Amino acid sequence: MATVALSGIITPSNVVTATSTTTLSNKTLVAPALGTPASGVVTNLTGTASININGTVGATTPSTVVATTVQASTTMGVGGATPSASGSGISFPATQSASTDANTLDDYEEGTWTPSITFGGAAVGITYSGYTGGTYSKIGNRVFVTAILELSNKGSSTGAARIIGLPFTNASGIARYLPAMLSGHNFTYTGQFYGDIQENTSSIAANYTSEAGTPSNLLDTNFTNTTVLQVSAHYSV
Amino acid sequence: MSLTKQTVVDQITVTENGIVLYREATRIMEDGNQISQTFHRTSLTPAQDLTGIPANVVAICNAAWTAECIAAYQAAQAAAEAART
Repeated sequence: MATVALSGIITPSNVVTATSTTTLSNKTLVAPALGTPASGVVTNLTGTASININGTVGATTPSTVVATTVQASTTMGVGGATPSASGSGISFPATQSASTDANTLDDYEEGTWTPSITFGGAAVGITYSGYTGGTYSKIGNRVFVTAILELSNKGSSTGAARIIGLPFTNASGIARYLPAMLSGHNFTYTGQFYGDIQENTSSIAANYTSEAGTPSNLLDTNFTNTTVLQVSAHYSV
Repeated sequence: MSLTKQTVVDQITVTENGIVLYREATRIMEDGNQISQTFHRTSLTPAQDLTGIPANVVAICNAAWTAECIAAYQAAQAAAEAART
């Protein structure tokens, strides 16, 4: 095996090719600064070889990294998001950067929301116990919500009942009246109890359908001062 | 080491029909560096009572909820109710 000992700085002007196995152990190979040359390819890194990139790699340098598999030991950020300092996962920007590509997951957010009830669009004197609250998760353009409302006083407003305060508005289009699952106790109705979310709204209408199939709004008169409602729904934004 | 908690309204959105959505971010800071963050979202429909709502959100609501906006939203709601039942 021929050996060539090199010292000092070597400046290749084009491609450097090793035609047989070349071992570089316990040494450091220093590449020129990114951009000098503008591009290049390193191949056949096997075993425990690794590449350390120090400093900042510009947003467009490189614009695309192609790899068979990528492993992040903890978290990674997309869209300029700072990777989370806890747990493992993907961090999205705090404000969604929407993609028009149907195969691109472009948002994730989880949090809480506070549901409340109106009758005829008003909420005079309505109060709640400490158990009232809700959570949400937004995955792409789909929002999942759960909530519980526990009245301590149904107040004096009258009219159709509506749960307001959803964390996002329901999109318009196909699902004009998207069903929402409601359950609860300490209120009266006859038939089947259900909710729906109208397009372009951030509220759930509370309804019931008679045995004959006639839908009606749940009214203030159906409620008591101790009515409890549970909500589970998902909709698109 | 100093731990502090701050809550800010970090997003306010007004939809075409006047619904105002806002997000409150609660951040735990350690020596000025954020170590955790949680979100709480609220939506407000035109003409809704604004008691207890943050002042900057109230200002947005008052600007967005013109008489025409409120009337159009309520008319849309009434039409949707009529269509359902």
